[in-house]
Amino acid sequence: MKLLTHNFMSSRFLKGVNEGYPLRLHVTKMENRDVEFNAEFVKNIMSKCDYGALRTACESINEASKLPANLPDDLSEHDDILRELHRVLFCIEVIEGELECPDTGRRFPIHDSIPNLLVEDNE
Amino acid sequence: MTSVDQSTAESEYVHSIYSRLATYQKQDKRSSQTSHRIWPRVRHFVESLPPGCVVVDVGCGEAKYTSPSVFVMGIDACSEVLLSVKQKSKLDLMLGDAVTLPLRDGCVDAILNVSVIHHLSTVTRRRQALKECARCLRVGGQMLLYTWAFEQPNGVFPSQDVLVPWNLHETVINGRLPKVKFHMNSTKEQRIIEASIPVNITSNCEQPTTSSSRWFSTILNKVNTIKEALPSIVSLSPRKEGPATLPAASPQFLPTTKSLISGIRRWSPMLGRRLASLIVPVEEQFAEELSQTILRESVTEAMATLREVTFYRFYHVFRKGELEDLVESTPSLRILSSTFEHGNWCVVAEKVPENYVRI
Repeated sequence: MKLLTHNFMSSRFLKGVNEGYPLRLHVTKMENRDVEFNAEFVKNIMSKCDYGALRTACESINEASKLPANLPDDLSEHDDILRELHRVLFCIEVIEGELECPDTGRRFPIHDSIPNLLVEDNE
Repeated sequence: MTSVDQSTAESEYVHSIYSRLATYQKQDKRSSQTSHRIWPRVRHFVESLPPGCVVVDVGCGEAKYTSPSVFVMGIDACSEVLLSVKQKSKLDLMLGDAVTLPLRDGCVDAILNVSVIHHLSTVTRRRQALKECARCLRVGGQMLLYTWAFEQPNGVFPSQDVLVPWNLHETVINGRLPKVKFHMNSTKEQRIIEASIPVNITSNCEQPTTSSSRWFSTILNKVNTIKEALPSIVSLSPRKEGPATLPAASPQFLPTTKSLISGIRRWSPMLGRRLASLIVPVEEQFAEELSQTILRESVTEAMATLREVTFYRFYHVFRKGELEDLVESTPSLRILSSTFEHGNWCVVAEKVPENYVRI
């Protein structure tokens, strides 16, 4: 699971949960992959991401040191930031761990880099 | 017409069957090319999205529709299928439900919903699945829907809610050629439509519906129907009315031992289990049922390569106009195009703002 995917996930499908976002991230195993950098692609993707949630997720796995507190208005002029965003969004692969609903504490396992968001009918 | 509980239709005749079929497909990559159609229109839809789009593939299965210029998130309820998908840098997978998507509101640019909602057993759930897609789409985002059609060029379905046979002996397994009988006057498609079994979907809510109790009671149901089911699987004659009892989703080859007090279980599994637990602990009952199931399934798998085996999958096939009506009844969706393609209805819809006025 990439942090990009984590940025879109929510546990709002649980009963009594309205927001369920962002999910807390607990990682026990992760890898770094080589993925070709494309500045335009990263820029477009970032327009759909919630930067606050991305930064929080990076902090929870100690990968936020090179991320600014706030994104500059025009990313095109900041190649270094785009490359760092590319690294955290596409290169970091969470293999094993858990996602935690911020409202209920319900935990969802991540195995073989696939998070499991299936729940029982009564949850 | 035979009745099937709405949750059984999906858990037994959709989810568990796809898990089983996934294990066959994993054995031979070539078979996936023959058994799963790639829709050119879907591929074109994905490839023509602007670079950097975020796409969700609901019920993605083997996640066939990817593109180097977009990011795809594949969601499926079947772990066996997802684990067989090759990892790509612009693709991520998650286990989730098509009726309750695990995504935040308005975050995606496009959604694929290909051959998914025809496996949902009630109109409420089919509508809910569309509502979920609409919720996750951003305004202006598009979704592509495919459903199997009631109107078929090669046959007539006996009903809109049907159990459709999947003839494993007509599929390539392990590189071995399918054990096809030579059919002079019919195609594979004609035969599966002809052999489809009409069912009546009911909502039985008297039992608690946690997965574990559902799992338990479906095993019990299976046990009870095996005897009646066996002959109907073997028989090849077309059924217009449907058999008195349903075939098991996958065929059974082992005789089953009678449960402790099966007569009581038949009318109330909960009470039966409670009574039985006075004699044998619940854990032991579960363990016994589970080991029997595992044994039966492995025998079925072995037999599948040797002789004719038929799995059944539940479908709700859509009549002309039905898919459009379903989309139009979802408040924030607007139809852009609607077509009929190789026995399937295909709709492209767009998410519109809440204050949008329909013309």
